[in-house]
Amino acid sequence: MWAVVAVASAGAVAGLAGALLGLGGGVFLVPFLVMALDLPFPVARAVSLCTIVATSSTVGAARAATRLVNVRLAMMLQVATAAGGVTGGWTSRLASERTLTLLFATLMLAIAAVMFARLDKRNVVVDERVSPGRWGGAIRDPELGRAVVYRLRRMPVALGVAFVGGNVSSLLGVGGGVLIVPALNAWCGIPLRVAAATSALMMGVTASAALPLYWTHGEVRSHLAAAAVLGVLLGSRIGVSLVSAVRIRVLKILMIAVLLAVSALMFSRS
Amino acid sequence: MRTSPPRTEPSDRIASQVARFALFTAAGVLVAGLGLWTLSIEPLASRVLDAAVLMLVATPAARMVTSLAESARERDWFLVTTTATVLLVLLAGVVSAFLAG
Repeated sequence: MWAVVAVASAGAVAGLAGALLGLGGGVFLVPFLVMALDLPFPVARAVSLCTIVATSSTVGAARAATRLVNVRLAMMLQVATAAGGVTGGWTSRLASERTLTLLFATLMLAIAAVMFARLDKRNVVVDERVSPGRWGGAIRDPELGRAVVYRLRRMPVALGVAFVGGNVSSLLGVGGGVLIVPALNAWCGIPLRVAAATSALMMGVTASAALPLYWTHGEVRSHLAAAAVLGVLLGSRIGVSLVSAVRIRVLKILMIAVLLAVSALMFSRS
Repeated sequence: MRTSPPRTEPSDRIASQVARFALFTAAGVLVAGLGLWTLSIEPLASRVLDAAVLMLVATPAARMVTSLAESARERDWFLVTTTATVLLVLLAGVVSAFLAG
């Protein structure tokens, strides 16, 4: 019984952080379930993927969050993410787990460095008459108190990162947001809140594509998944309502801290 | 660079409402299932929990099907194509999982 309470509490923390940063929460939940509750990795991965679907659905259902989601960009990147998810199994055969873990940890370190260098740089144009282009959009910036415009840069980079993000999600069950959100923000000109909401919406689809396989292999423990999901639903509701209130600089620092922590964890595992 | 006003986002209102309905329904069944599990009422608890998790997993697909219909109604063929492609990938994932299982 205490395990269910612990999983629900961990889910609430994961949901809060996941909705704020667009990470889906799996990046916090999988290490907790494996290290603190001693659950097998496949079970932890399946529980985590269920919570990613829950976070994504919360973002997809919340009015405040849907104003931030760039649906057109999400659908375009979703094709690459889904393809990455499908090829996840092949990737594990092409390179050893150690090589993949090292590559992933190095990539996260690089993204953390880029984000740190751009800590006070914003990806928005204050003049709302500027065209956002095919893939950009307009949002209301709560810090500036007015509408701002953003434009997508380097679509091939965004597609490549989405592909790798889907691949990583399928392999590790952590959701690809940990890669996609900072990359879209640092390299592709997408504001952090838009990147987080758009990524959260995409990750639910990727997770739901991976779950049937784990379900048929008996790796989805429904009572643990239910506890984690209910915790995540509570946490992510709070996260969605907070996302516009928290300053971008704070969100970026949180994101860098998460990237460094996960990178260190992966370096130690490899 | 200064050209037309910002393009409006495609309408996603009905898809959001479908996601909200599916999410609240799944959450309600999850609470009921967890309550039954706490009271050790088996096998009903496991069946309800399994049904709730399956409902939750189906939520993104339900949202995408609605989004596909909305995009087709608005004749946004780019969104129709990308959404249909992703739905096909989802379907392939389900079919291959059950074939492998």
